[in-house]
Amino acid sequence: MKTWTRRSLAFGGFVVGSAIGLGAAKFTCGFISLTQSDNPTVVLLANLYPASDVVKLFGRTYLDQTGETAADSLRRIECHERIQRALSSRCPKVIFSALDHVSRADFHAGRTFCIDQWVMSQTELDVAAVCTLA
Amino acid sequence: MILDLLSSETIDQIHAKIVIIGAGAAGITLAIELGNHFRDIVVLESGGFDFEQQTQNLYDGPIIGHETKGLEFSRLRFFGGTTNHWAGFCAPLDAVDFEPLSDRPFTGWPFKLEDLISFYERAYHYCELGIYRSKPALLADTEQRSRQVIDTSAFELAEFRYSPPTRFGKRFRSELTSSDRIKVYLHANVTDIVVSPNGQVVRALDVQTLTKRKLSVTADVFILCCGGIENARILLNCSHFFPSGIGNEYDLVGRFFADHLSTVGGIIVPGDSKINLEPFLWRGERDGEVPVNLVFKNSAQVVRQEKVGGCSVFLDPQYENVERLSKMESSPSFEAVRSIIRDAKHGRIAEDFGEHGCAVLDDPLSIVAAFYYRLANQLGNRGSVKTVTVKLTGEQSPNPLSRVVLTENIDELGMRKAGLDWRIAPDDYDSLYKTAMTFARGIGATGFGRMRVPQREEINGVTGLSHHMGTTRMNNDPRQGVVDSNCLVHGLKNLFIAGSSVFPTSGRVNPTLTIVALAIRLADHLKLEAKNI
Repeated sequence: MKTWTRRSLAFGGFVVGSAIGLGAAKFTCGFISLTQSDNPTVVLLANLYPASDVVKLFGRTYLDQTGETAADSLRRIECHERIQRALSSRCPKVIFSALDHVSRADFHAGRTFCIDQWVMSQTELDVAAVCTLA
Repeated sequence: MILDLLSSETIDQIHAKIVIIGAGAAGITLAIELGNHFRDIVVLESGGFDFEQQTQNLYDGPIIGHETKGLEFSRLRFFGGTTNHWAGFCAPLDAVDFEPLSDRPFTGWPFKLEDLISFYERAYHYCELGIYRSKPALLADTEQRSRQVIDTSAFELAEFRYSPPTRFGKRFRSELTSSDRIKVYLHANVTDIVVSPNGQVVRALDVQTLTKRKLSVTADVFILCCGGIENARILLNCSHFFPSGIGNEYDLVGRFFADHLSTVGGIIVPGDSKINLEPFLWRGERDGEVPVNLVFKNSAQVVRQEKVGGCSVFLDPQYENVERLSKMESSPSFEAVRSIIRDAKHGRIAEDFGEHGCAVLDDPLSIVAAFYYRLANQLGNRGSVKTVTVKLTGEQSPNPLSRVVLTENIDELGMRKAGLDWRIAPDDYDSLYKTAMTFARGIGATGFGRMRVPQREEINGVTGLSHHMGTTRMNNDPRQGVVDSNCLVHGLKNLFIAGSSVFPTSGRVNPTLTIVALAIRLADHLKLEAKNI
């Protein structure tokens, strides 16, 4: 706890990067055109995070810890009405906003996991898990 | 009047109405309060006006249990006592701290917070904390401030106030010197408490200087105010009449030792690095002349229902410019400038002046940057918040196995030295961990940031804050307490104890304000009982 490991620094960067990403998204929202793939949800979510290796690492650790699969996480996200609406807009700003809203609700309801000592919401970890499919 | 036994004329007998043993926060407060009512108060202080190593050595003793600061370093044995090095953190206990909790044995005080409020108000004067308000100004917009950070009913905001810190010896020296009702004797060490043949009344104190001068002190009332370790040590040492020590019929003296548990509960990466955390900074705001800041405390509901001990949560933001300043100031070129300035102050030019000069020329930008960041910090421009360290101060559950004991080692006065067998129960570590996890979830719910918490095992590395409490605990049942609710030692008619040793539970705030409040309360009790004294 007394020292910052490379991984924890990377995750810190990931959290801060997400916030910066949200700001950048506000500006670029109208110009971004994301490539369609077989599973648009996976591609959309994977494109949101700049530090994709760190995100995937957290996703894999989360799946190892819960014994679930990335498909389970994807199903949970796709079942979430607010996130689905945001994803269909294909706008990063809207998607981030929806994920933030749902994550806060997770924290409030105690739907959290401790991954590499970071306390995170189920939804953000589901997103990380989905990113492992990209 | 203040007299020094090392320099004053030979005295072998002192008589007083009331004798106070120890001139720390409790002893000095009691002397002043009682001096307003009684004529003949004597205060016995082991040390002089300043630190003396030989006297301080009387505090020496081993740490037997959980590692903590040595007994000879954690407290001070001279006029003013440990207030000579306290930091000045002040806050009253909370209502829940006084409640007996059904799932936690030995909890509960024999009175409620409401009964202590008026004494806290008066204690503010002694600790120089301004005016007591039941709802501090800084908490006026509590909801808004706390919801910025945390969204949960598990925590509530509280205010910590900062004493200058009051050095009781210096602050009240002139008042005591000019009083014709109070006599303070310096270098007066109590070596024995002499009890009457029926074992119900204290008759006298044997007092000795380190120069082996001996005298006897008699009085109607005796008050022991020597701190959480020494109160127990003196009682246990006085075994002439009671083989197990005074007040120790039920083997309670020295037991239930508690300290506040301090640990880092986690590190937060904030979502918004521009967030205003000034009210949470150490002494970050002011109420008039008094520095104050906000802390979180786990709520009374959590303490009552979830088997979690009371805990204060301090936020310590690390700012961008402060971090940069620290980096620049540790550069070789800045170190060289520092060295040159130091030498110049002493009016000399060091032999390695040339080397220092080269170091300065190698990297002049670091020096410019260091001065820039120092100026920026002084002007309040600390930059964005990089991380926030979450610091926890938790209470210990009352634990009879955690105790002050007597060792076989003898001090210079012939008294057995104290040893500290500090124990921390697994539940206490669990409480800190649970608090950290709940806090992490709470800040996630507001979007304030994400928190990295230590592993449960890392919590075991807690340190104590040298707040020695609980060793002569208060309870109206002599089987559960050494003193009753008026701080009178059970079984004796005229020996009282003041200080944090009487705390049945420790709460989650620093103890000095409560020590002073309890001392005032005891003084008022003695004034009411004046007819019987």
